[in-house]
Amino acid sequence: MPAVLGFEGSANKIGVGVVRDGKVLANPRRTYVTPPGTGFLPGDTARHHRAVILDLLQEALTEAGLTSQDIDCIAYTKGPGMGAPLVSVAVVARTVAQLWNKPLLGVNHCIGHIEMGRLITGATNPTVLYVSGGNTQVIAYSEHRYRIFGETIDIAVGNCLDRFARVLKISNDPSPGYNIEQMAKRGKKLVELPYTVKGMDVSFSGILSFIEDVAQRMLVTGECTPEDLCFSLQETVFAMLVEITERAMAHCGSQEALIVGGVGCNMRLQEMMETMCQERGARLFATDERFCIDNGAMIAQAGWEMFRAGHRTPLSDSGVTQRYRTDEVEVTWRD
Amino acid sequence: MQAPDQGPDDAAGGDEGHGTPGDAGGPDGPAGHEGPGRGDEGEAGAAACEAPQAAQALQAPIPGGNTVQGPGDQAASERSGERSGEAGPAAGGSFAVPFPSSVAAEVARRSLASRVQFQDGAVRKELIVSGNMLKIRLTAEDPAQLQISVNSCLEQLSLLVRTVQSFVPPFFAKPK
Repeated sequence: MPAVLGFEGSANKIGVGVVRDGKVLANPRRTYVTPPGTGFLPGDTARHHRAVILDLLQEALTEAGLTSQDIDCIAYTKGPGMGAPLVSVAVVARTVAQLWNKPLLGVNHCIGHIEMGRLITGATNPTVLYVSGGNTQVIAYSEHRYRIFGETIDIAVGNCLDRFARVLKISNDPSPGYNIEQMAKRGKKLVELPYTVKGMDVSFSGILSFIEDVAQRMLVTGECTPEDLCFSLQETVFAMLVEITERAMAHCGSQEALIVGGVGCNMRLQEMMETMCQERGARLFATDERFCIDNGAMIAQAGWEMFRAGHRTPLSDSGVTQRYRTDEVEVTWRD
Repeated sequence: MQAPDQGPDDAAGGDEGHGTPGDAGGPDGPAGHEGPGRGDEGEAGAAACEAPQAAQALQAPIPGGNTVQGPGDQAASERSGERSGEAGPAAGGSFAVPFPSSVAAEVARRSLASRVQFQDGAVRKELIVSGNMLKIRLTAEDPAQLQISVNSCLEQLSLLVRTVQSFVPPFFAKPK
């Protein structure tokens, strides 16, 4: 019954989680929130993480009712993500692994999301839509790899939403995407935006440029409200995501779809995906904000699977990397 | 030297990021590629002081026989003809941090070590344990990147010291 401690801090959320045999024993998290109209920079984000990570670690152990001796493995986010925050978290992971004499495991952040989604929802072999501020991928498992069937060719869908939130000076608390979602519910007018699906891939940078320009013009003239723009942006980008997910499901003959990543918390996206799944006779799986948004337990869960499959990361190889593709990892823990 | 509030999909980053074009760092190289921290030298120095002795900044010659400037020594750089961005002699600095034991110093070394990559403009970091001292040497062609890397190194060192103090208090017991 191995218990795995997981550290996550690749973006503006820092979390420490404990997982043992499929049970999440602890999962505290903090978010670095910047003022409206701004994003988060690596140095400042890393400073935030360094200030809270040790408290989070203690909180996780206390909540789980465990001591260092009860932990069997230390997992941390190896990548992808922002360099300075990743490094800060890795320093702590390496240090406690040595102090407690525990094996270390570097985990792919994307696979953390997938493994937590599988654990929480019980989905057996779904087509995965991974959508967050930094990543947008459609993924399916095949022959010991999580294969990327489609993805963004420029910015992530969450990045598009977050940067549009800055244009409107929407609050980043609790997250810009959440606040856009609430505003979108009050939108009444659909503003036509570019729809850019390219085969299995999607593109969001042009939509962002377009809507930034539209916002300047139409808000001044009163042709639409900020709520209308939020609504229109969501409807457009989510429809694109539904399309490429459906295409992947058709290709794979899949009867399950799983949404993971911070944008997966969005109820409108879940609603649109549910409609598509129902039309196909498929099932949709999704988690709540505890596990959709970056968290330590997802790293612990992926680490748990890897640990049981015999993976280890030597200290000499325990660096981090900003670029770490989902399909780089050999998924030896699945058939 | 604070990087401007750039869009999140560029080198300064904003979101998780696939990693962006122009990110010259790969693995946990110095933070100089992402944008500088504001230098927690005070915090790092104070944390190191909680160990028996304070960290000492040293200047030392580096291979190549060129005079080495510490970070920020721009006047000297100009006098010697070294300017940021020009291919030329590297800038460097080193400092030594005492730990209560060689074991503690080795833990620190392994926690701070990263794969050394040699790229144009990259910062080279060397960590050596000698007795109970952890010696850290940083060299770079660009003094600005060196300054960023020194700040980053001190911040990581401070975090490491706090981690050890928080989770293995006896580790830092002062020697009798």
